[in-house]
Amino acid sequence: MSTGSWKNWLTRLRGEGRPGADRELEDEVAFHLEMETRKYVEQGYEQDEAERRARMDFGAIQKHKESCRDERQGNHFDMLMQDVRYALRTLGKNWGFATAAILTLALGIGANTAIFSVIYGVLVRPLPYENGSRLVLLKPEIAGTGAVQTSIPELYDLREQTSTLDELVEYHSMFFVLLGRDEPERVQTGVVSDNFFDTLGVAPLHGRTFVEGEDALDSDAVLVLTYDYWQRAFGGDPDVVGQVFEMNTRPHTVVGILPQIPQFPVTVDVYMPTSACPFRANAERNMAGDRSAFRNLFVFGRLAEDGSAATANAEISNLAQRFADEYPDDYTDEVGYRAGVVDLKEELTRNARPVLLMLVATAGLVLLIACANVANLSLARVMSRESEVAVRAALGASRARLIRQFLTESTVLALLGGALGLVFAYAGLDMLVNFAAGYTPRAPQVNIDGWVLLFTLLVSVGTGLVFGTFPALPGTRDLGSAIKEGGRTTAAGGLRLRRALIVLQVALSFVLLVGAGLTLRSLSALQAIDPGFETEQVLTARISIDFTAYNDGVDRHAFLGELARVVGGLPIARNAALTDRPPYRANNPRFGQFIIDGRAVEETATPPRFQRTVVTSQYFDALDIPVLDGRAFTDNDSTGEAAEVAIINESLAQEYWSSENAIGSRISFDQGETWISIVGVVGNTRVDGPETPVTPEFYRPFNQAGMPTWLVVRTVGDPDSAARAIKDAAYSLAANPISDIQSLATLRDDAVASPRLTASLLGVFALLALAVTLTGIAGVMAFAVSQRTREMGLRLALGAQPRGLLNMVVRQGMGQVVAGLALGVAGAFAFGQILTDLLFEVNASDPATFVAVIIVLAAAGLVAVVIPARRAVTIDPATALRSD
Amino acid sequence: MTKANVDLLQGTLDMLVLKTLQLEAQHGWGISQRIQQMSKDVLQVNQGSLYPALHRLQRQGLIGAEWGTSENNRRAKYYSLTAKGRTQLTAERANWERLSAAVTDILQTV
Repeated sequence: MSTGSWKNWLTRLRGEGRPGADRELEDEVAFHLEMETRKYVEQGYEQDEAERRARMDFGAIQKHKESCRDERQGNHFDMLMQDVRYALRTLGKNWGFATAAILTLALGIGANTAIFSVIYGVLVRPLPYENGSRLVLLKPEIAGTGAVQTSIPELYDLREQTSTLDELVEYHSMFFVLLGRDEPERVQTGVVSDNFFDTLGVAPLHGRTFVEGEDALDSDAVLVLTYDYWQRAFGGDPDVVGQVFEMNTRPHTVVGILPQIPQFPVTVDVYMPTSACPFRANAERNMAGDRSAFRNLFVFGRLAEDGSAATANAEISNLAQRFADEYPDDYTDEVGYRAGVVDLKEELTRNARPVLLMLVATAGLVLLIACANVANLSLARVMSRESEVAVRAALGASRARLIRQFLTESTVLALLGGALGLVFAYAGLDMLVNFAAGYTPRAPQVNIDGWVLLFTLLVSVGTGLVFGTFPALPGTRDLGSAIKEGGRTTAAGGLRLRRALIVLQVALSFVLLVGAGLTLRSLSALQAIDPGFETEQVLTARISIDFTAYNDGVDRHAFLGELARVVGGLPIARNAALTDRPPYRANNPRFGQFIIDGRAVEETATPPRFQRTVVTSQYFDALDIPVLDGRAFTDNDSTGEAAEVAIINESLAQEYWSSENAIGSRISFDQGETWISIVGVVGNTRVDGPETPVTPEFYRPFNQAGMPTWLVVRTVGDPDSAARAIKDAAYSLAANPISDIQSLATLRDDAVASPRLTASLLGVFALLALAVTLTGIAGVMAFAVSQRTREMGLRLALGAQPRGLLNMVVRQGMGQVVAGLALGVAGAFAFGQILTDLLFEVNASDPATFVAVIIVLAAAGLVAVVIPARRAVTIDPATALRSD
Repeated sequence: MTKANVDLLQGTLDMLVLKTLQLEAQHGWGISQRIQQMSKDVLQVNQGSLYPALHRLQRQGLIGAEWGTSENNRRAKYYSLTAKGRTQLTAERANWERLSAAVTDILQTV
């Protein structure tokens, strides 16, 4: 709409500037009369007579003014405003009804608005990069073990051979220490190829991004700062471009600042080209003959103009097959190698889809119930307003005009409900965004914008028209007989409609209750899972090693050992241990192969899956993991000359040593070059969360394998002061040595936060729906019974037993409930399919849940039916016969 | 003075109003006088139709309105033709001529 017509519209809405326009008309008429009078005076009339004639010529002044007004604003608008004013007046008089209706609608519209904003932000809105729609993610896979990252030689070969992708860029992130500000600072660094930002389509806010050639190993080191880091560390000073800082003992020049863009897969502080990362550069220098050199890279590709992800995927998987054929020693048959590409946006939102689908379905059901309920309320009101409607019709209002009046009223209600719903949506959005954040990195891009507001407006108007039609039809039919019959004809039609609406409401409530029941059962199944380790009084923290200060493995291990010892010696600590696979933190799965001494290598299609965790001797004590056989690690296992040992979990012991004692067996991870003795068997754990299956697992002692960079502390007393004490102790050893201290109890709760929120969301909606439905049933029953007061009185007077009458009325009322339940069962099966992906160890058509919900709903329905029914049959026949 | 009792159809009045404004801006009273004059007193404009017509034409954007000073130094609302109104007048005039020719033809047919 142009500004002009907006202004025009606004003028009209304001009663189109009535005072001003009217005064002008007044002046105009006065001028006309004056001129006319003067004309008559000139013709020789007396002043008085001239005025009279002028006025007579003009005619009915007021009526003409009215016509002018109509012409000015167009009749339709005037009538609409009249209807709206009338609707507001009636609603104001019935504030009880209006409040109930607006609240119900606000709930339905608010839920839909909030959920639409999530759907729109996550699924619809394009990625906020210029080339967002052409970006794909490379997904390499090793047979049987799952997703891996890409190595440098693989990336270079792909880049050279692909024709469907016009650019391939790499990404990995690391912590480095940045020197040159007041204090040394650890910065999360994204290491990217020099074409990274150009490929994504990100232009710098200041300075430049990386340019071709900066990947070359001998080029000068440069940095690009992210917007947030630039604001935080430099207060948004653009002069930082050109400054030099030291990282990894080399000067790094800041060349540019990025705008505020969302960063995938993780948020970093600064970006550097690949040549500036010492690890990446070192790997590249020595990569000859090593297909797996630096297998740490995320690879993004940009589709060639008018290319599709499908053709790129086909080409990349061919190329991967060619690698496997060309380097059979690197990609053995057992390991295999496959790769493909997926649309980046789809990849980032894949996990969120089932949840979003569930949310949409729930919100839709809630809105339907809200509509049905308000339609029911309006019908009840229409039936009581029958005489008013009849009088308006008798005074000449056409049926179309009456229907329009009803629809205006319902739309006004729905718009008010929508406005309140927006408030609800704003209030609930944070919760919903956090919820979605558990499933997609796009969640922060969710907000209520113009599109969402437009959606709310459309839904509100649509809702108003839908539920307004119900009362409008019976309410305006056959008004002549309505007056004659004292209101019984329309009441019958209205009652039928109201009963149908009740059936619908019962069915919808049933569906929501089943959904809530299923998710609750799933949640309790999740919570009933024994993790196999202690979660109370345990803190975990990430250890960051300053790679420049401790530049070889021996130093780093010494630092880690010292840290564990110092923390373990604190009075607040019962045990302190190290691990490389901390509980409830997203861990990359680690798989591999092993052979058992004295057994033939089994020829299997896929290599055995197992986890390998490196821990210190205190680990099993700290987490209370039981030693079932043999022994735990001792500090001796971590000394330089100790024999290579391992501990296995029960699952692994059962799988490979079911009939014999595993203790004393030897295994090897390197085809028999080194043999490792099994010294103990410990209980199974689910460290990656309750829903992950138990995996066979090896534990290796600290110093014999890997670098465990997570601290696990079993504490005594208040966890907060324990956390402070641990931090103080750690900071006495090095700068910024640990971060991200969290208790296992919190992490355990977080692990089921999303299922819990799903269950409570559905639970709340289901209970609201139930309450709304029950009041609906009771209301319709009360009305039906009151319509039959005379009949009841007559039956009682003729000797009917109150008990028999009660049975009759209740049977009729329960008919709707039963019909609703039958409809609901069908609906719940469909809704269950939507929930399947979100359920844990519960079938979507779980009979126990269905039966329980049927019983609950039938019982509640019975109460809602019986209460008004009893009133009907306890009435005094004499009074009843005189009613009406 | 004999007053002709000719009822103007709404569309016809609109066209006549546009015609009177073709040369210069005019106020409501002036328009009614001009129509009366130009029709040699055959057409007497009913004020109850004229003013609503003026507001209607204004809403349709065919004429504009402005307050000015009249020949006897009074504040009066002057209406003038917009570009859109000018086009409309041409179209209606052509239409009218076709129509009246057709009607005349019919009436002259024996």
